[in-house]
Amino acid sequence: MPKMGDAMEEGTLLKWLKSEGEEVSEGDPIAEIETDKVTMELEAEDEGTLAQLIASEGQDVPVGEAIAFIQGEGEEVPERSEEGGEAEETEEGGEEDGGAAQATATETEAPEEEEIRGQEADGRADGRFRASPIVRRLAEENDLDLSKIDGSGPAGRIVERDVRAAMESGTAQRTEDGKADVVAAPEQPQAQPAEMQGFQPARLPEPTEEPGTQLVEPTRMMQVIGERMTESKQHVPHFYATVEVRMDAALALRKQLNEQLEAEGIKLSVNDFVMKACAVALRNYPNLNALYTTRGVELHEKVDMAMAVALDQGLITPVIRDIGSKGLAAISQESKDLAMRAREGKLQPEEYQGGTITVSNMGMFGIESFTAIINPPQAAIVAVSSIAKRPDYDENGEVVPASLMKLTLSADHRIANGRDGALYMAEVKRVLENPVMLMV
Amino acid sequence: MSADNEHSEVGGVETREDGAIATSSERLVDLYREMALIRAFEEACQRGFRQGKIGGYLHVYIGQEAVATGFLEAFQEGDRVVTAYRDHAHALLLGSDPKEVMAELYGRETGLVKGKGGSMHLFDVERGLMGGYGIVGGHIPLGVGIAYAMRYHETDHITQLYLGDGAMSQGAFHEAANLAGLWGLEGQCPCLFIIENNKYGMGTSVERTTAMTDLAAKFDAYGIEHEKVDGMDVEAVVEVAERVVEQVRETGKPYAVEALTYRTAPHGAADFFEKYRTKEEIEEWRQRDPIALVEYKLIENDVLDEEKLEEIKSEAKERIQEAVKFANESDEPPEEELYTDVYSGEDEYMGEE
Amino acid sequence: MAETKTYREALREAMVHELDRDENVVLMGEDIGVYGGTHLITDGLYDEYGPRRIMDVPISENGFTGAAVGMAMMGMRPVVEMMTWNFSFLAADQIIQNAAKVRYFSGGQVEVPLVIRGPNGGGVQLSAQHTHSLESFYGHFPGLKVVAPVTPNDVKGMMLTAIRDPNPVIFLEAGSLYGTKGEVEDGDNAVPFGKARIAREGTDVTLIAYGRQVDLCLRAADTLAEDGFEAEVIDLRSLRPFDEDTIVESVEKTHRAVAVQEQWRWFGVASEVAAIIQERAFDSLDAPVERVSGAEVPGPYARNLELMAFPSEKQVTNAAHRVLYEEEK
Repeated sequence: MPKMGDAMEEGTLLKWLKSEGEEVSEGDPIAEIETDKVTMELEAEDEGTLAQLIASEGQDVPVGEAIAFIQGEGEEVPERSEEGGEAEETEEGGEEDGGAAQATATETEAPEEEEIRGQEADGRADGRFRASPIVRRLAEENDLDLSKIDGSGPAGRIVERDVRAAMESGTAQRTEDGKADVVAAPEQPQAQPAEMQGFQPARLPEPTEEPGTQLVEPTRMMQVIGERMTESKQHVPHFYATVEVRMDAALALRKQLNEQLEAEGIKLSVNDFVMKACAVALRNYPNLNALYTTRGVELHEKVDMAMAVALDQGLITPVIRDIGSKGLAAISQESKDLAMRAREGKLQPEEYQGGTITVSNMGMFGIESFTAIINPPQAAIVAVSSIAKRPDYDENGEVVPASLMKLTLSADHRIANGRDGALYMAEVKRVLENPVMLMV
Repeated sequence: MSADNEHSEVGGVETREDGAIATSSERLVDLYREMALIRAFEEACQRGFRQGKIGGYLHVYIGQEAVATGFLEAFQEGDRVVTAYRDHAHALLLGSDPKEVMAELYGRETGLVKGKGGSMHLFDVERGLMGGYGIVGGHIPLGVGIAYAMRYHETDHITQLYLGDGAMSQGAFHEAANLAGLWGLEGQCPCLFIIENNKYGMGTSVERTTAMTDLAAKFDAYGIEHEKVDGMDVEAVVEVAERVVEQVRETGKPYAVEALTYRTAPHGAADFFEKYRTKEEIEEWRQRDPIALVEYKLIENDVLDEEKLEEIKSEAKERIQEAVKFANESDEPPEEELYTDVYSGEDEYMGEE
Repeated sequence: MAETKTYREALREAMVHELDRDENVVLMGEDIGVYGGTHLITDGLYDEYGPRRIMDVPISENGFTGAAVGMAMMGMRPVVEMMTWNFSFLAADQIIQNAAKVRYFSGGQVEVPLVIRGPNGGGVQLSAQHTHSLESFYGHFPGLKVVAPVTPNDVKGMMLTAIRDPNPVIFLEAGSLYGTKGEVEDGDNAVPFGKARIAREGTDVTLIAYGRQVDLCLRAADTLAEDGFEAEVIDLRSLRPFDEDTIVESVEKTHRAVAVQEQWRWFGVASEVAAIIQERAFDSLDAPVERVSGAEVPGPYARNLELMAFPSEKQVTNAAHRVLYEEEK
């Protein structure tokens, strides 16, 4: 490819004007070449046989790379290489695996910024203050605590004369144990993010480091979950409502359906039934399928149900979108798949973000009942406990064995009141005890 | 080439087309050899540029060979040559090794100026070549100063100062010519101005750049004597050169010769379309190609036959191929070279990070 | 041995010294010969040395500067006068494209022992076209050396060094200081390039300047002393090569710096000073480096406007007060 301009780096071989094997003379046009400025004819520089067309029509070739070979007398045609000229290595835009690294329930702020501030360790609440470079150096050299020096410079900057004055009066010496002698959040070990300072009481004890103790630093996921749960508990006015559901009819239906679905490899679980029932019941109680936003309650028509999945190092809530429009089989498959991938750390962000209501099932652990913490900004969460076989009364007053399961609603009192919550749960119970309602 | 038209006019200069040899045949063969070498070199440069081996600008002398070849026939040791950027021929004629010149164009450490100048800045001070400059007209005052220094130091050397028709619009030319004429009054400026008038300042014809197209006559304004010569006829150039160089040497006064020539190659490597002139015009001037003219003479006068001419041309091509090989095989300059020669006496000075 | 001389006399003394010492030295310029020079620097030299050594040239800055470059390439040592440095733009192509670079692009085959000198700077109501101060302009180019001597002793000593230097030297004389007096050493008092001069020692703040601003800073220092602040004043005097060490050492001592320049703020010498200080003396700084520059306008004619267009003592003391965290007055 000839260089046809000072700045030209590559050209396009538009068209071959001669064929391979044709005889050419000096000056014969053999190809059309296009640059970003112009289309030109390329003339043969020598006589001979156009033994090899290396570049193909339409190919971009960098300047200086071979595009053809004119064989002169006694010359040998070079071996054809795999590609016409060296193709530029294309970088595969490899998509990074989103899974493990992003297995957090929510978005988080980069903790780095917080860490740097934490290192200042001067006791100021925001961790930052102004001091000129010489001041910092003098403080270092003389073991001074800058938090004790008032800055007389612009915007409270501590300047040299302030340090000099402090040195003379000896008011800013650090205390002997090397720590700042101030009543404030003490230095945190570097691994812990300063985030936790905001959501914990002002005094956390230092680790004792006594024999028989082991310091476990929280993982990022645990930190985030802790933060969110704290926030939820502190800011959302929770109230609770529990119902006890007779699951016999549902269990029978489940058995029946599973026999039919066995061939397809689908096995419905109790939780699938519960989730579907919760979704169906929301039709009449839409304010429990809502989000609390900056400007009010956002009601959602579709139910995006988040299901809590326990992990070794925390918890994640993958979401089944528009669960109300899906049948039990679909719900079953989706929930199994999400749970499996959640445990493998292979969920995509869009699979665990969002959600308008959560269902948390601890039935497999033999829990009689429990209350769950709402995932803000959702309005509610339903806690599903285990099925217990106990005697119960039928409509005739006779004692009959019954499979009883408790469901507890936690709801945001800013969005729904006690009566809404109670009525909703009664509806869920009704649907589960009359499982044909799941078809509607 | 018609033998019956012994004289004709080209741009107001008499040309000889009778095919007679003016100097001796041996000399003409030598001149031919030199021009063939230049031609082969310049053609190799064009190839090198297209292959991406030569970067930046490339201004070749194809078609103008007779001018420098003729004038440098009159060069004597101690003289100096200053030209602009179309300088490969001047370097080769003064005896620079084609290997080193090609290596310079290829940007190698073995280049004539260590790879730090490139095509436009060829210097071979030992052989008399004082550059190689990129700014049109910018070199002209330098040439005049160099000539002045020669008389200041009481030598009888002279300076051959080459410039193009385009440069004669620059203020620098006029200022320098004025100084030359002024200093020449006292015989203190042995500067021979050689105007390589190839009819175009890059893409603009002489007629479109000045109302007074008689370039030689412009020197009247500065009190400098002048004449014209057919720049395609190397023997005509030699005749003029030997005469005027002597005169400049004796008088210490500047002199100007306008050589009417033509470059059949584009101005530079990026001058693709040559919108400013017609293919017919180029073809017309190809008929007067200086090398072809000499070939005609040599054959007409039975000095050499076609075969021998081919031999000479092949030799030239071979020599140039060796130069290309040498350039290809040479290394680029070492990194330290970046900081050298910025100042004299103190390298690595205020340049290193 | 030293004598009190004017800047003008000292400058001329240097040139005479070299004219006597080296046959290759010639002076070139407009009206420097017969006329005696527009600033009377070369007055009488024509009679003494003749037209061969003292060359009057026609008004053609590009032409004669370029010719001087050619002469220098051949071993002569021309000292070219720019009647004022404002005219140098006409010769800028020769200075920048040829003189500064030809050694480099000839691979070291030639050198250019050339001095270009002339009055530089404003302050005498010569209006916009005659008021430039070109330290940062020429200081920008590798291949040139740029100096701006302030004292009579320095102008003599640095001119000796300049003429002997095998490189092109841009010799910026403080035009408004031609008449000032100072002690000048006899004989060969060559002052090396690349070394700044401490014009006044101090401990509280460093004032850095060149050209006529050095005097300005000395006056400002006196004013600051009245308030108990001792300023150290540095006369850069050599722009290329630049003396970083003296500045850095000073700021490490005083912790505060003000850079003063006659010409405009943008891309000026003071910016360079500030950059160097923050690079090398960051931990010693008590305040950011302040710059005092000329107003961002072409030089005006009216006396009062012109005074406003250039740094004033007040601006320097105020800047010093700012870095001292004192109230401006």
